[in-house]
Amino acid sequence: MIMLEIDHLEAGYGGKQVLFGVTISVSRGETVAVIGPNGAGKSTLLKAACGLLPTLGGNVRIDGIGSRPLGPTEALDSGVSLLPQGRRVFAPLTVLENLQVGGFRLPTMIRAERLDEVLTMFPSLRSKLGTSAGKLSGGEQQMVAFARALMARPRLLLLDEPLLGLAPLAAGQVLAKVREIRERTAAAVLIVEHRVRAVLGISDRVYGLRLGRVGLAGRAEEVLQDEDGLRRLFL
Amino acid sequence: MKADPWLRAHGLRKSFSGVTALAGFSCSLAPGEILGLVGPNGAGKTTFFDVVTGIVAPDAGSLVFGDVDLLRLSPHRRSRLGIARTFQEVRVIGGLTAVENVVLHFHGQKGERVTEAIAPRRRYLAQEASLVAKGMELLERLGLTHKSSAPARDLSYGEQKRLSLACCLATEATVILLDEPLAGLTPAVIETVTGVLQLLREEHSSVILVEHDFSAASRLCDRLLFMDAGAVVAEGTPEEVRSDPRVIEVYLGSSFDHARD
Amino acid sequence: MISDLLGSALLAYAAHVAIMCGIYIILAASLNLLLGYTGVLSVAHGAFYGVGAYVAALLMLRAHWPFLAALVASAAAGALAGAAVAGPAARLRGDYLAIATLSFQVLLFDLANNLTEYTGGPMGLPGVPTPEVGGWIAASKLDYVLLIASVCGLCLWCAARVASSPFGRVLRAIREDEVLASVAGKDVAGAKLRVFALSSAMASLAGAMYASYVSFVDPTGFGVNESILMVSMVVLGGAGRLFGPVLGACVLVVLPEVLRFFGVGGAAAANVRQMLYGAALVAFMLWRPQGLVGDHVLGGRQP
Repeated sequence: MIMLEIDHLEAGYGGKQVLFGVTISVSRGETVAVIGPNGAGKSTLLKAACGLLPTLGGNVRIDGIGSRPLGPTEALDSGVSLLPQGRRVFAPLTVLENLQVGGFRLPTMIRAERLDEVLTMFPSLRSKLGTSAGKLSGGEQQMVAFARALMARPRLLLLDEPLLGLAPLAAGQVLAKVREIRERTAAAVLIVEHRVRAVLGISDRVYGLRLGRVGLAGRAEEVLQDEDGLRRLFL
Repeated sequence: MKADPWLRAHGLRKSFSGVTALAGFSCSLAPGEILGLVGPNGAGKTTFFDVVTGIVAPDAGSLVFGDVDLLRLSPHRRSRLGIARTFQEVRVIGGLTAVENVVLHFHGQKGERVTEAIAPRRRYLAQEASLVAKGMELLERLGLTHKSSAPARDLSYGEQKRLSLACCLATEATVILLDEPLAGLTPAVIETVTGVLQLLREEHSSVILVEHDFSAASRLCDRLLFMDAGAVVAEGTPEEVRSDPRVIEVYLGSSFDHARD
Repeated sequence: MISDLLGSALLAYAAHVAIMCGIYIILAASLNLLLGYTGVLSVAHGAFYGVGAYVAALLMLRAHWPFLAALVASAAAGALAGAAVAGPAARLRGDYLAIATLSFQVLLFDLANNLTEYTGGPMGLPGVPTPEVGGWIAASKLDYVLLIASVCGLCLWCAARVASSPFGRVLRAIREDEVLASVAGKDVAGAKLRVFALSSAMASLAGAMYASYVSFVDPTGFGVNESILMVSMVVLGGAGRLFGPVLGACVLVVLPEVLRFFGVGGAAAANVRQMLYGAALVAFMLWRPQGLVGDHVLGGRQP
């Protein structure tokens, strides 16, 4: 069942068009990766997908419903959660408070339940609930941001370069979490990432974006073997 | 006095609060060469430009232009030697008109000293007229004649990009550093800019350009330097670099299979 | 008879206001070159004003120098002082230069108060002679109006020349983007130093005019308040335009006088003036940040 459908999307910022007719889809339970060189439009695609960007042409449909620019509350209510670039946590707040912010639209009882579920997925955070998020390491902060994104039990999870700036150990942990979500939940996951091998290892399908257009598409294992295709995408 | 247009960097290192931007970067640029700097984001390309123009001082390494040690000179002295650059986020003086921006960039003007400014104006008035004429010529080369008296802040992104290139030409630099000169430009404008670059090469000026689009860089440049994490990974002709297995490896990265939760 | 007296009293008063306007126009115009055109903040112009006043007073009183020579010397002294303040700080970020000017302002005020042997300390220097230019003496207020108008005209002419010159173009570039200006081959630190020296020379010139007008020089007229008053004039009138400081100076000189007629005078006047300046600054920041005729907003954000 298709959760996210992007159809011939054209989008850009202030006079500069970045996407020139992009068509991708993500189904429930699927993890789809978007790879490509800088300036290809990967982040723009994510922003358009969660309604943060007005479009110049084409369609974005979330769970069959055409989207208009979504505010944060509407986005959460439609079951869309975005993990933005760069380990964005509320530094002065504690880990617990950060997670509670993630569930701010939930009724209190459900929020408490959900908190427990999320902490089961991220056991290392249980012992750090009282610590200020600003004092954690880069990898730990990314875990907090990730856990926060999951608090609203999203049906569509968008991850913008989750491995950016992380050391190999922390990056491996984040990837393992994505694999866990793929195995344990029915969420549709769209992940934009630079590190190709890393992301293809945990994805079902992949799209390659180049200069605002889809340059290649296919199942992750196949694309990983397609050296020529990858070379054409990046070089 | 223009120095021998041969730029040589060796072992440049630079870190910003623990983050390494340049990790032993070396390169050399010959007269009349168009060199492309390519590689993923954060590879250190713009930091290199900042070091060459004197905006940032390296932690280690050497930088020589002809027989002049650049690292001992302030930015404006390096500019006078013949080094010009554009910025990734297009920079022009918004409050001056397009032609004023270009005229600003002519070196060795009279009237830029306080005494000359107040004293008999005829000392610089004649010069002004000829500089404005030269400025208009440069604007014409880049298709900006119709915007010459508009404040630079009113120009579109592509027009401002062309204006900053015109300003570089005004300095008569022999080494021009262009940071993503083609990004966001329409095909017609790209043609104009490419024409300007060919002309520079014919006049034995050298160009280093940073470009994200690998195939565009391949078309424009004589040589490519592929950078990652602050150092050169591969260099050579565009074909050589493209088929170098180390290059595609940089984009593919590792698979982190060894990491466990 | 009475109407004659009234008439001449009114005239004298109007002349006085005109003279003060003239002096402040010079001061505001000098600061505009620095703040308005180059984007360099100085809160030391009260001190440069003071330097000019004291140097002229001392030269005319103690060394019996003729008026014109004392005028030139005070301008030179101002330029030197300006260079001394700006020299070391010109290479640094703008905030550091502004702090350096504040230190200079405070230092000079202290020196004026304490070097009693030279400056007369808080008692000041009385009896500064009337200006005499080659036989012509500025005997009456109206004569003085003529004198100040000429000097004012000279300064404004100077400022206009700088503004329309290639040097002025460099200054405007520095204001907007120092890094770009230096990459374009301009000696930014050198230009800042030079315009600072010119600006402080002009402010000192105004000081010399003031000293010979009131014939009495003491530290109170050259403190931080005075510096802030001048900044207000530039902000109010509008930075970066030649006419701006003229407007700003006239408004802020005339307004308290107008208020005097509404019963706000005497002891409260100084305090009310300060409240006015503060209110004017805030109001302009909110309503018209580019000032009455300015071409840009100091500090960047366009209205």
